[in-house]
Amino acid sequence: MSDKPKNPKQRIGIFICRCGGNISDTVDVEHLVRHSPDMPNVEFAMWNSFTCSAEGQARIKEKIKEHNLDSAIIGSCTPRQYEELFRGTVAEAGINPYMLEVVNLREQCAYPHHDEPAKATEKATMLVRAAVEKARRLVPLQIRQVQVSRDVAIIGAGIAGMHAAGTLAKLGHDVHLVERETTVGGNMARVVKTFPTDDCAMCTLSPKMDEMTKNKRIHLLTNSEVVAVKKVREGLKVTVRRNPRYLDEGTCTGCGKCTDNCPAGLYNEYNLGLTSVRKAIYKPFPAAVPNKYILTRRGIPPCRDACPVHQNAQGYVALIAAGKFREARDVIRRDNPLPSVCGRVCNHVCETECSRSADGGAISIRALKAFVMAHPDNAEERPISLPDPKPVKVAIVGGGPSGLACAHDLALHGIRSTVFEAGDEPGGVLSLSLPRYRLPREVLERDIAYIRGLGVEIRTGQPVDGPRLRSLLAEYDAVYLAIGLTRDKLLRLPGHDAEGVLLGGAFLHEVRHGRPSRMGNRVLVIGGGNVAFDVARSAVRLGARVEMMCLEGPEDMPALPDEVREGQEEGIVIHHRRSPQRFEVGGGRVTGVATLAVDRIETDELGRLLPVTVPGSEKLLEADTVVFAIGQGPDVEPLKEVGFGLNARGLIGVTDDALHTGVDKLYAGGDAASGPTTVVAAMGMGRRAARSIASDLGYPIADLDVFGPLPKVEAADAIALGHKAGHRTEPRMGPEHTPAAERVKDFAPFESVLDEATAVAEAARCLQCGGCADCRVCDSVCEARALRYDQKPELIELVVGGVIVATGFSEYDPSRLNYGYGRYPNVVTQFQLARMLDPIGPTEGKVVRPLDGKVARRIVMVQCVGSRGDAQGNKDMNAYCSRVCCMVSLKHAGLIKKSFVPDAQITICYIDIRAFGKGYEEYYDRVKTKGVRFLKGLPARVRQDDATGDLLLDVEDQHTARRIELRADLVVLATATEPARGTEDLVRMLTVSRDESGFIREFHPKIRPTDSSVKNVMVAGCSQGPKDITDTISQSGSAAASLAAYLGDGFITLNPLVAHVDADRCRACGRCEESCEFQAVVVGPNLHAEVEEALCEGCGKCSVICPTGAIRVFGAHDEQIEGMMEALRTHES
Amino acid sequence: MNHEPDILGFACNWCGYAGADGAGQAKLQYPTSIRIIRVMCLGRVDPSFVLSAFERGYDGVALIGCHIGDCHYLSGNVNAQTVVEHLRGILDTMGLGRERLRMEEVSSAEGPRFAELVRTFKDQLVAMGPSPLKKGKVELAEEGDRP
Repeated sequence: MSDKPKNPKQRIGIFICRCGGNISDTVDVEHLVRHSPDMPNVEFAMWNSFTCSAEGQARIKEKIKEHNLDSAIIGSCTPRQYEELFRGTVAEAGINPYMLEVVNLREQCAYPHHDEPAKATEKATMLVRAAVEKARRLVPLQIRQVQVSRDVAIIGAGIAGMHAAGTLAKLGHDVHLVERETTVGGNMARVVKTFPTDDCAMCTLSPKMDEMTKNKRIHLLTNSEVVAVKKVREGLKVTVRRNPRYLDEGTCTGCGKCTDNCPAGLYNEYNLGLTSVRKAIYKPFPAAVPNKYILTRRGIPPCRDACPVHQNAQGYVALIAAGKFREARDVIRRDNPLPSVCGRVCNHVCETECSRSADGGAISIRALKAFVMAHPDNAEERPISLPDPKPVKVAIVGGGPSGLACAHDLALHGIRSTVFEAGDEPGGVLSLSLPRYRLPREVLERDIAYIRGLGVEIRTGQPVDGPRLRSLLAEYDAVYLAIGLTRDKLLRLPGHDAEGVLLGGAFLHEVRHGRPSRMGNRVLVIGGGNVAFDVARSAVRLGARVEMMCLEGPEDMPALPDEVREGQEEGIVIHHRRSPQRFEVGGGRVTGVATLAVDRIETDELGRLLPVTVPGSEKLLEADTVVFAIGQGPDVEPLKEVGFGLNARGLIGVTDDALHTGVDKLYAGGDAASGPTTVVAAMGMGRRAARSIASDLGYPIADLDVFGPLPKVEAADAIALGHKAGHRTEPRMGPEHTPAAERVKDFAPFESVLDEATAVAEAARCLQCGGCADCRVCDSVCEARALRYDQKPELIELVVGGVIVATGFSEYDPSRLNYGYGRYPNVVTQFQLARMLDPIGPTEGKVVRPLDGKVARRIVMVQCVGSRGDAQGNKDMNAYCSRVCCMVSLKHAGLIKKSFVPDAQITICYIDIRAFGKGYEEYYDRVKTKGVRFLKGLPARVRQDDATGDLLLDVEDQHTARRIELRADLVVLATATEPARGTEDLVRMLTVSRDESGFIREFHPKIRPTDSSVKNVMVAGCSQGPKDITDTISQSGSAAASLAAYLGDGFITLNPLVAHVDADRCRACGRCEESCEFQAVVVGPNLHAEVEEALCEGCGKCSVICPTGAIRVFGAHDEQIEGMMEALRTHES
Repeated sequence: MNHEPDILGFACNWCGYAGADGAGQAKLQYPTSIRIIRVMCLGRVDPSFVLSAFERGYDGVALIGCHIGDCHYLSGNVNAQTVVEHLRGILDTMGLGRERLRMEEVSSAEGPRFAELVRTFKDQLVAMGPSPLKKGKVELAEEGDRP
């Protein structure tokens, strides 16, 4: 850059201030005035006594006009003081206000160099010369105005936010009040009484809360959070996420029927950790504003997440605990087409994933389901109304769990289907394979009858071959192939065709009618899965001596652990890790199996097991009957001509998750497509097939998505919250089993159904992981029909001219200290004590020991817990004083003595009592007269007397220098006020700074305590620092006024000292855009950088990074700075 | 003979410059060796300014600004820190010595700190002796060039 000045005809005037001696006592002002005109382009120089005075300014203006000056230099106090003022002065005289440079001759010359006047003058000369060099390179700048939005956003609807909202609304601004809780009121709503008047907090708060919904200019967004902030020309674009209440706010009347009928019992966070319970649909307190309920979901409970049919286990368990067995049945039937069956035979993945597994034992979800279905209340299933039938029909081949589930779901949505079952009874594996001791006949029949009752036609004795399948495809609109696995596998080892070698599937079919004819007395079952156990345990019941052999070891048997255990109880001997080699035959009949030990099992790419045997490990297992139960395949041979494919494992190939087969109109599912799974997994596929078919036929099934983006609930969180709601670690209660010796006598079911008392008690153990149990009872009782279960979060964009941050405070967590908080139940905080004083609070207005509910008579209050860390030598505490805690403790002590526990002995341990406000010292005097003891000294720690739950504190009384041991029923900690948790992101988005303690940093702690460092963001209340309600309201008014003043009539004058781009030099590399933290410069469609002046803060980072010098900042051009640098160094004379 | 060093200071409007004002208001005395150029943010300080300053014969250069994390423009001082680190290496390579370039965090409340750092810096530069580039004038670049 050239240092050659722009304008040789420039006429600069220099005005040096004596500042009443402040400057002239040290700097030789006359010398400066005499020599300045030697400097280039300086036309005139003079000194003034008080440049900032009216007279001084008038003289300057006079001289500017007289000497026709176009630029001015004023040598005075720091430019940070009067630069704005002087710009105005010279502008009045006709000079562009940005052709001015102020020289700091006072704070940075006369004052610090007072002891060296000669050198001070020398430096002053250099400073003036530097200003001349800068002024010679200044350019006149235009002052522009931009229109900003007069709307405002206030974040936080506690007392600070509400007061500011009311004030700004009355000043004619539209106010968007954003609150993350479901109600306005903030912390003040919880304190019950306020000092020094001991007024009821809610009484003073309620009218303000009411105003938030009544005032037409205030737009209240509760249950909402700010998720993004973008600076725009009109101010700020604030994106708010309105979290779902799961009901329509406009329709809800606040009648409360929903909450009365809700079966949930969840931790009530409103009471700050004291054990208290609320419903899932609730209002935090009766006077909540808006007067609407909210349904709280935490996430997907693990039970529901794990279940292949997404059975809402939490829902029906909660209803059982509430004694609502009919509603429980309704919840079960919503997702489960075969509930009675599942109640007996399901492999209950829900229980495996149950959060309670880590806290006493999983809930007996399966047994509870059986209980509901067997309950007399549910003996008559209520008819449900079905939708109008659709003009389509579906054929289902196979009447097992998958086919029946498909038929059931289609029927519920008006699509008729016909089930073609090859066997003589419907049910597939449920009727043909599962032994009766696992699934009694009448249980299966009940579920089948229900499905028939939906209009599903089930035809038995209807095997379907290739030609039949082709005719079904022609006649029906869709066909679902769910033929299961019916072809037994076997090993063609030497001797396999001897008498007495049987197949498992066929064996179980025969068992339904009695002892299979070819069965002997000594049975050996080959296999380790559930079918093998069905065979083995059936054989036991038929009087045989039964053994099993399998390739696997005890820890990896494919059968369910329950089956294995029960089988062993029944006397079955299992030979692990044995591979059959050949059958020993005698007289045409099998006499045993020769086996080798298995070293390990390898699997091929098709999933087939290849055991590696140990040579020389022969062992003969004797038996007169050997049954293969090593797996089954689908009976697809007769059907293959239709043209569907098989996958590598020989199962029916499906081409996608929608269960298409590639053959038009043909779908497939269940074990025939997936391989052997479980009853409930097959049902899951059947339900999926129903949705796929319905969608393809043009009648899509719309399932309610109640969870939306919520994740699965973690067990640890659920356990913690459950314990806060009063749950304890308790063992699981399950159904009883008939002892093994008894039960092997016949095929009667051996598992009892839970009795009502046990079922209700077991259901009450549920931690209710998901929050709301999705039982939908609230919807059934809501007359306004306000519930919206699939409500999603909504994003709302606001454009506002400014923001007030009023996010309040959170309490310091004292559990990190030695006071026993969190370990000893009788140690609480002052805020928790406030909740106890609330007549409708968690203790109904009684001051009690949380441990046992007894009245607390001996109360010790400890001050400065988490505050004034330096005074206590504790780095785990904040350094500051939290200001209000002394008054809070005095208030509580006074109130307890006056009304709650008049004979209480209250001791307040303190460092200082700070009663600073109006009426506070008098309040303190009154509390002293009530007999409260004040002890100057804080306890080193708190211990618990485990026998009684009393607390023991050692305190040194600083006045008497004696150590005292105090015994207390209740210890109350006055915890520090900290910035509200969860507000760090907000602060970052608004680009305001925080101070060392995390509170929002005010622009200046003395002069501008409610402005932030960002010109359109104000701060009020405890988000700026701890304070009481009085000061909060004052600050809130100040912030509101400050913001209103800034917004004025909606036009803002822009600062012209911003970046500007020389388009000819710009090569659109984008580095300026990248470096700008204010999003003020963007490479635009014209292929050069463009500056949005309303957003530019003039910091200059862009000009450093620009490789061509295209972008520069007015008032800080390179040549200006270089010119100054040259003037500020000593030159050889 | 006592050499009076030339110290160039860049001070940011919000912290460093305000801190210097604070030192003056408290009448703390420090050497006249330092002359300050006010910038809105230390992020404005181009590396070329620092090199140019040494070319012009300054004995020491100081960047005085906000504490890291408190920059009024969010992270301008972080940029400046990066620049200073690079330049200190260059100064070493040139044989001038990295100690001739400093970056100091001075908030608006830290007047005494400002005064102290000026005294210390001056004493250090006196001990180091004048910059080897002090002799001879420097030709400024012509219009159209960019260093």
